[in-house]
Parts: sequence; structure tokens; C-alpha cells
Amino acid sequence: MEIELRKVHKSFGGTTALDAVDLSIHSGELIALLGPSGSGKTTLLRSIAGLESLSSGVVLFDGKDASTLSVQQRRVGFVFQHYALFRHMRVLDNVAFGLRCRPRAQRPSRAEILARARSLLDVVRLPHLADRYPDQLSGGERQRVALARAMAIEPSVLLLDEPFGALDARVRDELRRWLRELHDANGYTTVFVTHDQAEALELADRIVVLNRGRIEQSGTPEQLYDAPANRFVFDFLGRGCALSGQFTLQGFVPDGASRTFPVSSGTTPKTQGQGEAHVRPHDWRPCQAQDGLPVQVLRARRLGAKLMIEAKAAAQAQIIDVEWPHEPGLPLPEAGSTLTLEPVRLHVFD
Amino acid sequence: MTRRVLPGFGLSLGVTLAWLSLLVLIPLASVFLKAAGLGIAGVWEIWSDPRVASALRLSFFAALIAAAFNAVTGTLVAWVLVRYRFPGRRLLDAIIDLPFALPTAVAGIALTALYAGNGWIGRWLEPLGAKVAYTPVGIVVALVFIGLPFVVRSVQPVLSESDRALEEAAATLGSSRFNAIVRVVLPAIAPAILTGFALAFARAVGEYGSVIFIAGNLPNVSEIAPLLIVIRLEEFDYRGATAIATAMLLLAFAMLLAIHALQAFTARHRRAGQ
Amino acid sequence: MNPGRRDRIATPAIGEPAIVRWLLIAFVVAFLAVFLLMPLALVFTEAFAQGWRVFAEAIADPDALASIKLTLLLAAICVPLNLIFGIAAAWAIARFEFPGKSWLNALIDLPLSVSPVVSGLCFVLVFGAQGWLGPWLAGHGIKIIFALPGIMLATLFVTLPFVARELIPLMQSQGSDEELAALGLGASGWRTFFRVTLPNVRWGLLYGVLLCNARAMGEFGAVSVVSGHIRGLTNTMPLHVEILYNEYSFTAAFAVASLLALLALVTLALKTLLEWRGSHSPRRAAH
Repeated sequence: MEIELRKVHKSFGGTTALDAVDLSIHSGELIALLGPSGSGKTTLLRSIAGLESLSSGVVLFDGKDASTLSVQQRRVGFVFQHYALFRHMRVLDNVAFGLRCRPRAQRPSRAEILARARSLLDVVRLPHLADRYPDQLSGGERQRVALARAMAIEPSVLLLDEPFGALDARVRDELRRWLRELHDANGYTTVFVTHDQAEALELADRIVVLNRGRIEQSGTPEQLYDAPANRFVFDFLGRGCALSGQFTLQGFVPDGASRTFPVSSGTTPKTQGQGEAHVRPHDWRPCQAQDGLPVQVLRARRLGAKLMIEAKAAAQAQIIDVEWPHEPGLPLPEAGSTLTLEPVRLHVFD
Repeated sequence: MTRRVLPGFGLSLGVTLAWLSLLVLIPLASVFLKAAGLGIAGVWEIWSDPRVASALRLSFFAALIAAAFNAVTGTLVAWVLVRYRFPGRRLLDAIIDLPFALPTAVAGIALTALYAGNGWIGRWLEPLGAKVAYTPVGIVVALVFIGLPFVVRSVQPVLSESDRALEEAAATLGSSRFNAIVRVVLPAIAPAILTGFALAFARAVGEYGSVIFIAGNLPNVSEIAPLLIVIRLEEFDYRGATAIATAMLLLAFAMLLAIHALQAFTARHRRAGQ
Repeated sequence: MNPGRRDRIATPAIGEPAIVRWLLIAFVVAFLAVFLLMPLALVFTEAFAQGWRVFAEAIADPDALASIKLTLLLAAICVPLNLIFGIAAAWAIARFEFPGKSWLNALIDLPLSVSPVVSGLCFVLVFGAQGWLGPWLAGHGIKIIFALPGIMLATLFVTLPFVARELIPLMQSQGSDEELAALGLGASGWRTFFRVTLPNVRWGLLYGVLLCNARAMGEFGAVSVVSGHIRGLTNTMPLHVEILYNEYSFTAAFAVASLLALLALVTLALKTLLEWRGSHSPRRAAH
């Protein structure tokens, strides 16, 4: 199902949660709504489900105005952050709930409802838990039951509100992988909300970055990571450091370096002169003394397969973070030693 | 919290035990001792007396009906107070505890005056043939009054803590509002309703002051068990009074056990969910 | 803070239709008005039905004044005594472990489940003319039943749990860390109690005292059994109301009743205030 949001606006009292948001979601996409707390991502998700009414703007399902549909009629599968499983019902009854709510005319037979519920439990790999109660399940198991319950109504879209937020790191990784597999297998249009950029980058076909009710950028993980539209997206999706320097027609000269480096993303400001460019930690390379920025190593440590270096350039205010793959056998750079670094990619924002 | 570190264990426990023994244990034990003196046969004989049996039945069933009524209306009141906003809500919420705070005799005469033939409400009901004052119906009305806060105060905290996400989940799954309330919300608050019911019932069974004015106090018709105890005492029939009191104490203990069991059951379920 | 979480009382998207909501509100308001507010209003209306002067005369009547004095005296004696008991019980139960603790807790709740008449009865059985101690007391010329001591005992019985029931859970949830810290700093037991424990529980304590007082002044059934109803001597205010009512002095009865109703309203107001104030939250209904 194609979902479109046009100029969707939502305010609570004096606060604006969504500020004239435009978004298109295509059939079969796995989209992440990414942003910090208060960015409006959950409000956006709930607006699609009909759980929030809009102050203005419209949500379209396949071109038709969804506001004519009540929450019950929208056939969205919603998975809540804390699962919202019905405590007094067995797992099987939880999954079957949506089917049992259908009006007589559309309700399958009792036997068929149970059969469908069981087959969904198979899909989420929990058939052995059908007769347990939610209290007896682990967090990861509860989340899968919640997903099975949502899928039981054959929804046109799956909406997940920070589905893995409340879980241990290990369980989270497993479930992320599993969600991707599930999506690839059944092709549901899926929208999930997260504040974890790693999760978004790993799972989503497309990421929509939200900040204070507005969409900062929307695109594939590669697009967002390699070509962030602004400082917010850059900072939110990964670490980086700001370099002060001069802009010329050819590019950017960091203070303390003598070479000009090309700008790979962003716009070169029209006014040449003093400005800022940003570099990701893994976009530094060592180079010859005259070809780059001289720095002094403050601290070097190994983190698993990576080498993390904190360095200081004389003319730069910020500490430069460098991240390289660790070469086994090579010694770590000593504190106090000097290096010359060149930035492979520079990002510039207005 | 070890005995050795904090002082005052001996003193506090001693005072507590002494006070409880003097005021609670010994007096209550005296009831059972006296009843034991009568023997089971003797007690049973007194219970089987038609007037006594009728009074016990009346106290029991009037309390049951009142508590059941309170279970339903109390839940509705709790729902409205928790879920809705309207002018005067805070005031009404505060006034729910009135039956706790108001002396029972005051409640008794006020209710009687209200429902008597010339009272504010009685004058509308009587022409319709509904006589409330001086009948068993009046007893139930008084018991509804004093039992009202129990269910409301039992259900309110559970309802306000209940997770709206459950109701939203039900809605996204296609459930109508009515179905969601019946299938999702009610089961969650059922233990609280039951607890409130049990508390209201236990209180109503032994109630005296609010009831004796509005009841007709006619033997075998509208005479409650506590009143019969008082009458027997005035006749210096200690044995009769004690036998009836024993029945009421046994019932009270049974209710206490039931309430404790219910609360333990709910606590266990809630803990399992963490 | 996520603005979406703010007002979810009745999420408009999934709540009941407005008409249902308003009907329910109307029903509940009407129900409470009829069942709770009307009796209350009636007390005051009837008290002043014949004007201020008749009201004042009813209050100033010697027997009425005696009943007021007796009621106040009862409260003045019973509340402090049960306050001390409550503190002792809370200290023992909330601060120590010992076998039989849960039985002790249940025992404290017992007076609440017993019918007031039965409460009075058990003291008659012990101290009455035909009771266990009856002959001994008569021999020594001591009157308990049908006199002030009996009334006091009955009132002590019914008001026993109130302070303890507020303090015990409060002190349990607060834990003993602060007291242990004080002891570690060299404070004596009593100093710790007065300077550390008491200030921490003061709102719960006041709440318990408030409820204890309301019950002490308003108790009817238990006192009625042990009192003897001797006008001017062993009548508390509730008993006096009964006497006036039974002899058809309705206005006088409601006049005295209105004082008790006023007490109830003050109790409710203070109760609400304390609930907003303290760490105390309105909870279980088993009063």
C-alpha cells in the first residue's frame, strides 16, 4: 500500500510535534523514522495508525484520505514499544485476538482462527509458547508475539514503535536480523521508529531523519551517511569533527595545512573565506609531511578490530578523532608522536 | 533491619503485644470462650431460632445485594473519575470518602429523613409505590451508602495505572471500543473490583448505626443481626448475644481470609509480569 | 519530553463516543449527588429548619453540651494512646524481622473487620455485670460498663488500627537507612527516633491521627452497647443524636448531627490536603 503524508501538522497545546511534514512511503519499503526524543517520529507513526488526530494536513492510503477510516478500519499492524500484550490471555489468544474481533460476516471459523494463529507463531518461531502467558515470556519473545499479533490481521502496513528499545543488546541484534529476514520474506510495507542510528543504518531501505517535527533528510543509508544534507544529519548518523579553515575556488584549506582538499558533499559556500568543514573519523589517511595536516597524537588505543586515535592539530580547536582498521603486529602510535593526516572526504554545510 | 543494630525492639514489641492483648485478643477471645461454653449444639440451637436465622439472613443478603450494586456503580464512578475531565471532578473525588468520615448515626438519620414518606426523595417514590424507609429496601440503600467508597477507592488506582497502549493495541487490531473495554480493560481491573466488593460486603454485614434508623426493625422482617445482639444484651441474654456475635465474627474472618488470598493472588501475578 | 505522552486520559482517537461519555458523566454525577450530597445537605438544612436560635438552643442544651464534652474527652484520650501504640507497632513491624510478624499485622487490622456491636459486646462480656470480671469489679465498686471507662475501651478498640496502618507501609517503604546512618553517627535511639524517623513520617502520622480522630468522635455501634445511654453522663454526640431522634426532637437531633457532619467535612478537607501534600497517596479502601 502506498502511504502519503501531505503537510501533516500536529500540535499539542503550545508544542508543535509535527511541522507540515511531507512524506511518501512506497509499497514494500522498510523505512526507518530516525531522530532524537521529541523529534516527532512516534507522533508521525501514530498519525499513520490513526492513534493521533491531525491538526491539519492529510494522510492518504492508496490515494484515499485515511481520516475517513477509524483506527479499527485502517488495518495497520501496530507494535508498541512495550509490546502491550494482553496479560490475562494466553499467547495464542493474543495472536488470535484481531481475527476474533472481525464482524461475523468476515470472521473465519473458530478452527481456522486457531490455525492461522498457530501458523503465525511458527513464522515468529514460537509455536511452543502458544499456551503460555505473557508474564512467562522474555522480552524478545514478547516482542515476537506482538509482531505475530499484528500480522494476524493481514495489515497493509506494519508500524513498529521503537521495537527493540527495551531489550538487551544481544537480543536486539538477533531480532534486528530476524526482522529484516521477515520483511524480505513477506514484503510488508514496514515503518519503524528508532533513535538508534546504527539500527536504522543496518535495517532500513530508506531512512527519514526527523528533528523537532521536521524532516531533515530522507534517503538510503548510503546517501545519508555519505552526503548528509546538514550538520544535524551528519552529527546524528555518526561521529565527526569540525575543521576550521579557508574556502577557495578549488576547495577547502584546513588551518595548519598547506594543501587544498576537494569538498565531497554539501555546498561550497558562495562567500569564500573562513569556514568549517567536517570529517568522519575513518575518512583520515596518513600522508607525506607536506601533503596534509600535521597533528600530535594525544592517545591511541585499540578497540577490537579498530584503532582509535585522538590527535590535536596546532591550529585546530577541536580534537581530531581518527579511526583506522587495526593491523595486527603493528605497534600503536605513541602519545606525543606526530603524524600527518589528509581528509579523504569533507562535508560542508550552510 | 536486624534486631541487633536498631534499638527499641523489645520496648516496641512489648508495648504492641501488651496493647493488642488487652484490647483485642482478650476481649475477642471472650466471645469465643463464651460460645465454647455453650457448645456447638447450643450455638446451633440459637442460630436456628427463626428470629435469629431471619436476622442473620437479612444482614447477609442485604450486604450482598448492596455490595454487588456497589461493585457495578463503584466501577462506573471510578471510570468516570479517572478517565474523564469535567467541572467539579476534583470535588466529587474528594467527597467519595464521605461515608468513611461521617459518623454512622448521622448517616442513619439523614438517610431516613431523605427516604421517609415526606422526605426529599421519599415523597417522589412513595406515590409510585416504592416504599424505602422502614423496609428492607431501606437497609440496602443505607448499606450502599457506606459501601460506596470501597469499590471506588479499590478500582481507581488500578484504572489510572492501566496502560492505554493495551486499548490502543486492541483498536489497531480491529476491536470495537465496547469489545476492548470488556475483553481488555475489565479483566485487568477485575481483581480490584472483587477486592472492593469483598471489603464493602464485610463492612456492610456488621453495620449498625447507618441502618437501624432506616430499617423497620421488625423482627423476622427488617431486623438486622447487630440489632438483635443489642436487644439480647438489653435482655441480659448474654448467651444469645454471644451466639449471634460468633456467627458474625466467623463471617468476618472468612471475608478477611478471602481478601488476603485475593490480594496475594494479584500480587503474585503482577510480580510475574515484571 | 515526548509531547505525545502528555494527555492520554481519553485518547480521542479510540475513546468512547462523546455522547456515551457525557451520559456516563451525567449518571455518575447524578448518582453521587443523590447518594452522597443529598444526605449531607439534608443534615444542615434540617438543623437550621427552624432558624439560628433554635439551632443554638439545641446545642446549648446541657445534655447536648455534656455529650460534646464527652466526645471531645474521648478523642483527647483515645487518639494519643493509639498514636503511641501505632508508633510502637510500626517501629516493631517495619524495622525488625521476627516470627509471627504477618500474624501481628493481621491482628492489628482485626478491629476494622469486626462489627461495631460485636466490639462493644466483647467488653460487656469481660467487664459487664455478668461478665468474667463483673463480680470482682462490683465488689470493688468499679464501674466500667455503662460508665466512661467502658466507653473509652470500646473506642480504643475501634480506633486502634488507624495510625498503625498508615505508618507501617510508610516506614517499610522508607527503609531504615537513615536511622542506621544516625546511629552510626553516634545518636541515641530516642534522638534518632525524634530527629530522623518522626520528621520523615509526619504526613502519614497526621493522616492516621486524622482518621483515628474522626472515628473516635463518630463511633456509634460499639459505644452504644457499653454506654447505658445515661443522659448527661454517658452519652457521646452520636448517642445523643439517637436519643433526640427517637424522641422526635428532629431539629435538635440534626443540630447536633450537623456539628458531626461539619467535623466530617473538615476531616475530608484535611485528608485531601494531606494527600496532595505528603508522600502519602490515597489508596486501599479498607478503612
